[in-house]
Amino acid sequence: MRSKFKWIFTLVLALTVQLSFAQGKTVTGTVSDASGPLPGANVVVKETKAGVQTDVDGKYSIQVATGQTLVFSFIGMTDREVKVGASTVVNARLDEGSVTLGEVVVTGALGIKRPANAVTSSFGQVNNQQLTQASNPSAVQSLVGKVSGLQINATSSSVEGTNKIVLRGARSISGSNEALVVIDGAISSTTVLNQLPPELIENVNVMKGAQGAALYGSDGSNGVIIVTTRRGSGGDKIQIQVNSSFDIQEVAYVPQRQLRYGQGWDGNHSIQENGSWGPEFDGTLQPTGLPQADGSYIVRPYTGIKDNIKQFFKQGNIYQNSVTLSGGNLEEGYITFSANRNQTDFIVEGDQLKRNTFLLKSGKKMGRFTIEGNMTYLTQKVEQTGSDLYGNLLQTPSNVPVRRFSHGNNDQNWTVYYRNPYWSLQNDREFNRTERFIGIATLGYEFNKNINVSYLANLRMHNFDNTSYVNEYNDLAAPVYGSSDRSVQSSFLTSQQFQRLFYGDLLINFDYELSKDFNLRANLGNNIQDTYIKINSVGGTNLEIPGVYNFNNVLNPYTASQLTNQYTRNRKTGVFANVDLDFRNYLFLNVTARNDWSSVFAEENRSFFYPSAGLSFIATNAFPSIKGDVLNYAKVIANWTKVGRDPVAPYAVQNVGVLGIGYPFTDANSYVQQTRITDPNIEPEFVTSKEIGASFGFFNDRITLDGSFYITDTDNLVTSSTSSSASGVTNIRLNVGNLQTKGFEIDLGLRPLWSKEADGLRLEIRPNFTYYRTEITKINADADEVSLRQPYDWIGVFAVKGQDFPMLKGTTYARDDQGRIIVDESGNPTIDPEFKNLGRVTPDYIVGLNSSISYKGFKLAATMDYRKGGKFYSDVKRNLAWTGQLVETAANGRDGFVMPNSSYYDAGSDSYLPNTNILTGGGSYTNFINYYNSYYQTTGENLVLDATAFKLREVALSYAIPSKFLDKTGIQSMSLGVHARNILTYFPKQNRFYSDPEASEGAVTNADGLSFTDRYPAQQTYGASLNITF
Amino acid sequence: MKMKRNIVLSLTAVLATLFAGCNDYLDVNDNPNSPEYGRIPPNLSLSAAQTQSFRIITGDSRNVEGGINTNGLIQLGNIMTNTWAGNVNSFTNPYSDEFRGNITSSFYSGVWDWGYVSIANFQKIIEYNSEDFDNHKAIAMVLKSFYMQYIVDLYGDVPYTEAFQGGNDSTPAYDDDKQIYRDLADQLDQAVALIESADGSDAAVGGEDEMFSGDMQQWMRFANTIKLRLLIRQSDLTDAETVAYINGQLDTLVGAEYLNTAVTINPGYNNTNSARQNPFYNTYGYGITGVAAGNRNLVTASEHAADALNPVADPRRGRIWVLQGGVVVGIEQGDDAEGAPNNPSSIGPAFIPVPVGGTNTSVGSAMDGYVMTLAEVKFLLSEAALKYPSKFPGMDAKALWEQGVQASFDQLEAGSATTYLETVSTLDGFGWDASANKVEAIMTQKWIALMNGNEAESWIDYNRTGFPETPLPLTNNGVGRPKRLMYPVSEYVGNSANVPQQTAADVFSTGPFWAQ
Repeated sequence: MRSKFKWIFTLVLALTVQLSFAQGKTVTGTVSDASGPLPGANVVVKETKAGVQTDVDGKYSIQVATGQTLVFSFIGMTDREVKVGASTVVNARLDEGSVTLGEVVVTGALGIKRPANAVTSSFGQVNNQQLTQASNPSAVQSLVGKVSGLQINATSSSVEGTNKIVLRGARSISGSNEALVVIDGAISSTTVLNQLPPELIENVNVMKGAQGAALYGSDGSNGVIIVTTRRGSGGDKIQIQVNSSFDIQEVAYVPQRQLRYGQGWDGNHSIQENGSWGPEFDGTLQPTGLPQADGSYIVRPYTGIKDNIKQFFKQGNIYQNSVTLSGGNLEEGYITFSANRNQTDFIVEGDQLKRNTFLLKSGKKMGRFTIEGNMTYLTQKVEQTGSDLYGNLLQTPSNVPVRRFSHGNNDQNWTVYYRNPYWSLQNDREFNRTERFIGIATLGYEFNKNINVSYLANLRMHNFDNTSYVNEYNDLAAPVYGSSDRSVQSSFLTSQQFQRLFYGDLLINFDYELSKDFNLRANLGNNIQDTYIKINSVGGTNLEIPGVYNFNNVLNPYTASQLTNQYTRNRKTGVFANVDLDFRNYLFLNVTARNDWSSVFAEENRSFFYPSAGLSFIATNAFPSIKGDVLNYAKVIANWTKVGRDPVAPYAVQNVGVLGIGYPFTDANSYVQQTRITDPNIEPEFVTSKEIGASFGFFNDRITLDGSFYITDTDNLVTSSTSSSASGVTNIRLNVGNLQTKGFEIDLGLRPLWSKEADGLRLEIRPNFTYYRTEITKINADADEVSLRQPYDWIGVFAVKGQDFPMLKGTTYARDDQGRIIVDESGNPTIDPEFKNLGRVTPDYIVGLNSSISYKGFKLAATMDYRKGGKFYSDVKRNLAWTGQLVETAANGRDGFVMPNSSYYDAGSDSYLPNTNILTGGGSYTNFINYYNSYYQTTGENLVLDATAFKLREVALSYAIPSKFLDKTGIQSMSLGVHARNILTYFPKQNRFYSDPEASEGAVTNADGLSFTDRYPAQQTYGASLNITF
Repeated sequence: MKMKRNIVLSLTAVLATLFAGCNDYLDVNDNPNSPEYGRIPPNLSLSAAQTQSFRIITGDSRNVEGGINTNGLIQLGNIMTNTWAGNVNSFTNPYSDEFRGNITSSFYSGVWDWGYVSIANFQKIIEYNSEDFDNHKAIAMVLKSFYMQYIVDLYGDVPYTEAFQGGNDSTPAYDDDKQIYRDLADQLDQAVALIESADGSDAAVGGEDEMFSGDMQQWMRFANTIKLRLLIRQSDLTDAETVAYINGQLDTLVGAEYLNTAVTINPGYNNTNSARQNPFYNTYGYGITGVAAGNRNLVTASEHAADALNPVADPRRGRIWVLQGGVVVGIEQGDDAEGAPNNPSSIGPAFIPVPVGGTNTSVGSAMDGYVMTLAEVKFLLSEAALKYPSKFPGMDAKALWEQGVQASFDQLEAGSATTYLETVSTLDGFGWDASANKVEAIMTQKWIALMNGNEAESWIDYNRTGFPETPLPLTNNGVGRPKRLMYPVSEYVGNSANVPQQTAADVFSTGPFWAQ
């Protein structure tokens, strides 16, 4: 697998090599590496441009004169030079060496390939091996911890986990900050990447610096993740590769809860309560929960069961199987076909994901034409429970034997205050079926050695079918206990969304050697994008025949305003130019310019222009004298980039009427104005970024160091801001304010042990460090903050002028001038309703660590990361507080306590005196509950936690069976592996495993830092994998 | 070589075509899904403007986070007048902010947010660029005045002259509450003038008027009634300028006709969909298939409300509340589960008919909504006649007061009020004759008549007159009841340069200009 991967790089290099023939004799030979013949290796006559490539058997033939030197090279191998003597046969064996930093070919924006030396902004590469080391089915999750500056947050922890990728922090307040994903030269999305089988990915280039991405225009302003899928295997023999893995998934942790008090309220045990405010556990036999169908009670000792809610979850399984057939090369034609199947049975009963991916890639160079095609067909089916059952489950008192209520009957549930979560599993369901067709066709024509032209056409068609239903339930138990009716009306909704996205790039490429010292490469291009989306839905409530989920069976259809029936279309065109100037292979200049026209703006604002420039200087090439045993590589970069963006929805600049609520009531429609509008004169926002960086290689790349520092300014921020409702609208999207992000990143590569032999002892440690801060530098003239999201009266996420972004703000206990909490005569604190800053959401810094050790076919790899600092709001903690499950609520025998560092107002002295004896929550059990219910759980500061986390993300051990054992089996290579993901998590003491701070909200709104109870507990997985190549 | 030239030429041609066609290519930004707002005539927006604004009063169960929180005037008023309590047997600390007096800028912010965006629809009708909709514009003026009065009553100084301009002015300046009041009165005069002058070229109002079905006579009566309400609200002010203003304005009303029926709204409420139900029924009663709303079990009678009805065996009590053992059982505001009775009375059948057979909600879902009850009108006239007898010749304050009580009995289908009036006649504060202060009798009866209805009217009157007497919740922080609401969060965030400085203490100390 390793050699095939390198092969493609070589092909790429080969294409740039001019073929010519020198005088002399014909020399033949075989080039091999540790594992056998090496196809596609370069054989070049030193100091000439003459060169050939080895064929599929590693053989070559070249014209060369005696006395000249042949240079054998292959990416990832150490070059070997052999002086041609009398013999006409020269065999060469290449040893695996480190890729010299500058030589790696990097696929940049628009598929323009450059050696790393010529890249003038920072980037990070992740190869297939690093990506698949722990068989994570999510390519997105596999990137975590492997590249500095990259932050991936899970936006959902369901069976189909969704993620958001952010590079170098925020550039927008309410627009997207997500990086652009480009797959095989065509823009795509995080969702598609997440659904792409990781083993199909050859490598991922994370373009952190804005300059590298500027050619993608507005789409690329948040950085670009360039994904290249695998191309042919090199040989004319078909190669078959089979990958299989099986994982076991289980709940990693659930919140710690008190185990001293059980089900009840006001200190009394009661069978129907959802609170744990009952008496202290005493081990006596007690009825638990509501009477069962036969009238009997579930009787068990009145004691706490640690982590009883874990019983609700089962062991999940992940099966991944894939077969890839590939062969050929570009010159002779190549083909790759891959079929991949992923089935995930989630930790929640009945939640399941099934995904099939088929990929067909083919291409051939014919004379001056190159034609390549790439088709992906992907189907995915997800079934899951639709309800917020975890929120209910969290309220379960610890003495409840959860699994004994798995009959799913609500009337025999353990409480009357919510429906049995097992009922929800069966009766509140959601089905999503996704079909994606992605076709990419590339046509290239070479006019001469200096000019070629190519067109890339990318058509993506996505179809989403989504159906959800809730079955009817008529509550019999709750009214008996005087509680709220838990009845639910049956409902059904089905929607279909069709998307057709066209993306086309025309590129005219120039490549000139201007003089001996100057090389010029330039590209001129045009881009068009056309997006068409159609959504239709039908549904209603009150299903006549239970179990029939069809619109026919709906007695009360939803009204037009509750359903969707719309299509949107937007288009964008751009022209761009890119110039790469190379001076003596040590100074590289890259200049780009692009003008975009976007249909979403008013006509006069449609056009926007932006340039960029970057410089790369390879000190070790410029001054070979400094190159030595210690320093073998040094590169410095600097760049300045401006990018325009159009974060405006199609049609948004038009003010339209919308149907009033409930219309048509009978037979007539009536319209009201929109309450969320967009400024019709809205203009593009511009992101300007400045970056400097350096890369060093020491001791023949045994130590590598990469660092960069950047400042990114966003001007004319397009933001949906709260307007005075008195204007008649509640939100206006307009250009408001500026923000600035400053940060730096350091990537260190250490190879303390690095045997020359590929199967020798090799140890690699790659730590990385990320720091950034985003500050709101300007908010429009009138306001100094923008509320992004305020889910409750006590907490919200804000963009505040002059402050870090995003900022959590919320209510606090009122404090006196000495910072002491002021309590009243009953011991209760006063809640200060004015929102105070409760902390920045983004971390102080992130440290990632990848390391691997390999010996004789064995390889042990691990990835971990540590996010220090930052804050997040945990609604799980609030849930535990009011239900009396918080560990703190078990203190003092629930009999009141002196609030630490508190004071009270003394009227006599008109001052605040230290409180030593007024008890908070004292006097009665009821008062104690009241403190937690009326004060503690509704005060933001109590629920905002330190977001520090250490996670051991991946540990993988693999063994490649030595080829000598496989000789006669027809198997080329075979490896076995075991792996584990997310097996170790550390949180600071104040986060008693309430919530994973990473699981923040805000895929769209950027209101990160809010964690709710609609997420399932974090999962850990263990598994084994098998890879065979025939 | 030739082929190459052809390719270059054709590429150039392709590029040229692309750019030439660029603008056409990008002209895809016309919304095909919804009509442009400016082109929607008033006859296609009046109905929705009326029904949306009515949700200021009723509230709305569809509180979408990030959208508009619509705890309406009914809930606010019934809690502030100590009519509603929360069912502590089923809910933990219900209405704790209201009871404790924890008034923040999030407290009932929906009244402002939903209020203004709803009233803006009337402003759009008024400004509609056509001469042919005078009747529609007059109706919009009347309703804008009606709802703007509540905004002023509940907040004091608010944006008005610069309000409703959407993206053209997202940060409107604040106007003096007294001046807004004056302009609202002018608007009502203009509305009446428009109706009187409307001719054949003006579109007739038909089914799109969900309140009076185009009966313009009634709209004039409604306009007069609101104008009188505006004037009476200021009637306790004693400065000469105001007194002169009120007298002058009352003169314009001499001989005017006032409402003789309740103002109701019904766009065809039905039980085919939750969004089509009477919004109060949907929010505090039942869903279309008879599933009880969360509020159904939450809202109960307060002990104070029970005490106003039980001792006099008020014939209306079984209509206003669900009786338990023949009486109204109320929970004292702020009481805990141990102290509270186990089976409190929830909202009665006059407001929330129980679904027939448990599932058929056609009756409750289709009920008329009450924008202004006839009792309210009569008590207003009674107070006017009491205070300005010379301006209301031939109108007797006591008779009007009795008509108000009877109107309430009629609305609640509780028969004749005669016996009740006799019973209360000896009770100070309840009966006309026994009450030393007749205003107290008016306010007490108005409060009872508005139970479960728009008690915000009664709460505002309480802030003005101090009647009816209203006990504080047990959990009150000692701050009492506020006299108005705090400016909402949206103003601090979206209009911070204009929003007046205000502390929580301010809203307890001062009300709007008529109560300072």
